[in-house]
Amino acid sequence: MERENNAENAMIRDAVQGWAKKNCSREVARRWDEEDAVPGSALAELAALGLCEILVPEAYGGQGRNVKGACIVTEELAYASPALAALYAGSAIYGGEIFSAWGSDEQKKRFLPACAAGECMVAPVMDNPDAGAGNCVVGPEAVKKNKGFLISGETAAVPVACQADLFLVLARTGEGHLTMFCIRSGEEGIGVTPTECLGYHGSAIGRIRLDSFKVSDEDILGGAEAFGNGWELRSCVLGLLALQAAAQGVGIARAAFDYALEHAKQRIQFSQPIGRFMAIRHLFSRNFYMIEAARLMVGKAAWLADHGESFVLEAAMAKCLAQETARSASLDGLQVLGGYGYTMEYDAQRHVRDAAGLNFIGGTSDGLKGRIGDLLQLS
Amino acid sequence: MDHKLTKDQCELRERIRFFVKTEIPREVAREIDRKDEFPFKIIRKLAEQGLTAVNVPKKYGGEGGGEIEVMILCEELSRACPALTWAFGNIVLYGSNIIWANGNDEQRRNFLPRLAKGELLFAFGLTEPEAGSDAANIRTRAELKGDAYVINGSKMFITGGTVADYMITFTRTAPSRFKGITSFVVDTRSPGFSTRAIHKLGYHGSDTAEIYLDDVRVPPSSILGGEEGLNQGWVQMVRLLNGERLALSACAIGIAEATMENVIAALKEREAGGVSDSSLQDVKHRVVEMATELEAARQLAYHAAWMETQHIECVRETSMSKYFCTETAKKIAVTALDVLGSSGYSMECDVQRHLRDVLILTIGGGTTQVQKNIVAKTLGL
Repeated sequence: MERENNAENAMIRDAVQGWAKKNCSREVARRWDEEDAVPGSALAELAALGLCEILVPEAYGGQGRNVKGACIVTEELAYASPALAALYAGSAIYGGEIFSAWGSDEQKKRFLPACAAGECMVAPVMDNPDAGAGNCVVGPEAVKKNKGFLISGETAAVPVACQADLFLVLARTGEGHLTMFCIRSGEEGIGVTPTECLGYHGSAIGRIRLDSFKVSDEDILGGAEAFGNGWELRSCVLGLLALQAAAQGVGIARAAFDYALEHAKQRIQFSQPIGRFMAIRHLFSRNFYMIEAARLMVGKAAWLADHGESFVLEAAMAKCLAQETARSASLDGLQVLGGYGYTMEYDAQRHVRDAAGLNFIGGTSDGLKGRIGDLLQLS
Repeated sequence: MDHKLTKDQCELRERIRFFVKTEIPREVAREIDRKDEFPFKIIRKLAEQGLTAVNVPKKYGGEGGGEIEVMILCEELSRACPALTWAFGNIVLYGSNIIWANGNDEQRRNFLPRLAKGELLFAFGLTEPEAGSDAANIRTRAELKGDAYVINGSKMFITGGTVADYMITFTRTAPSRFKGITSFVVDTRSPGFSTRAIHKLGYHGSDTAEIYLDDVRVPPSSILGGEEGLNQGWVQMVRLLNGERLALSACAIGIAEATMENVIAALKEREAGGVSDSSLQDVKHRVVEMATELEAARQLAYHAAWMETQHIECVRETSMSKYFCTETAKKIAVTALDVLGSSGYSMECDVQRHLRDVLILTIGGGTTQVQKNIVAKTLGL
């Protein structure tokens, strides 16, 4: 089986690797991390390469849906800079996928061309990731008012929130009843507070607060008739977020792995490269097969998506494994670099900080395990 | 076997707890982490409380304590602010401990009373760019020229390097790998001694530096232990290792205790917030595993320390302790961050600092891999 399944995706991987090599070297990624900012020009360049069209139907200016390709782009960007991968997902993936599948005709026309052009950063705002397995805690509540709703409430930290043009907000619309709304940023009644985080610097993580934010029935994702279908949407969007985070995890793991591998081959102690010591070699061996497994799981979930099948279970599993893999590869990487790995002059510490972001990006491991349990009908 | 703490040791723990409560509230620890400046003020206060004298013999103005007293200090300070322990280590471990174990009478008389008062900071200059785990591979040279030794080379990751008054400097004085190493007590104001600060992921506030030695001239009397200490550096260093491993074990235990407190408080909050008991079962079980391993780590460390104070051979136990305590603390920090989810990732949460701090503990003072090599040897492997 060819890794990318087709020539198009192999080209996509080459294109992103080539771009990243030139425009997002380790030095550049380090600077973005230190400055806690990714320049907008980076995303504009990715859009110019057509990489934001990857999930948008041709009728709306895209190239047609290619989830596998989107995962490849995300993985390669995360390899260079996880923050950039997160911003790319916000810019190209969430809008493209969610509006294509769930948007009303009017929403498709309004948002998809902008998504394809990389001009519409979308932040899905889901239930609180920290609520634990089997719990769905939704902060915002939408109360019916005349021909629309007033939404109020706060959320936990959300990636790309501080740069989002559009929020897709899951809100309570009655007892056990959820609806997803499209909310423009920068309007009265919505505030975003940046969250200073351990890693993923530059990915614009923030908390959202809504104060009697006014929306119309047409702002419901899918239009007025989609009122109350939030549970179904939640499951699919959480699957998409998990898949994206899984691809990011594979990228982070690979970056940490390669970085430490270079060091292990060069660093001489006791008259030999430290990679020759079995204790070190086996760390690499283990991480190597974990990375391969996580990558295959991401590929399988994406394949299912591309073939119109549900990928929610596979995405949750892929995310759990990718998170563990990124954590293991980065912690082992730092250990292999020793004192050097602990200094800010080397990237090993950033890999650890970024990998820890997967503790909640794309769902916590408790939440994901809970959902896997649900899908196994253990609830 | 009896490694219960004595009455004096229990009192010491209470004294430090009181000090930590009054002098190092959470905001102060966070400020030290944020500013990354050496905490001279708090070290001064520790000295005023007599805590820097803890392991100095009474005849030199100290309290006459040993490894266990140092561990209690490291553990309690690490719960609030691990960086302080290392700053404190610049006095107690790299100063008093080394001078007492290896200094001659003159050096003891000269340094110990001032160390007891917390007036001097010492750095431990062993590691070099090419000599990390392979510590005997040092290349910094000391050559006798006329009436002085001339030292040339560089040192890496030296704790307290830019703030220390003296650096115990390991040099090569003969070709023999282990028997050609001499350590000098080098005044850091000497011409030719320069430093470059290194920024770290954690332990902010504890100073770390690369040291350059360019024709630094020192008299033979500055050899650690006097002129008889020539080529004795390795043996002198090995003498210190049990104490260092135990102190680092205690640092790890202290950090892990703080992590546990944080994660338990956060889970209680979740329960109070209406999260059902059954949905927390897996999380609770993980916390129980963390607590169990931490208890095992604590018992191992204090047992090894008790052996050391009883002069029972305990290289195996101190190495096991260093490996197990630091790896356990790392695992606890990683698991806690995982359990805390998005709230744990915020810089507002102390657990992210615990992870940043703990990650050096499986590296410094002999990596986990080195400790395992030592233990394997003691098992006859």
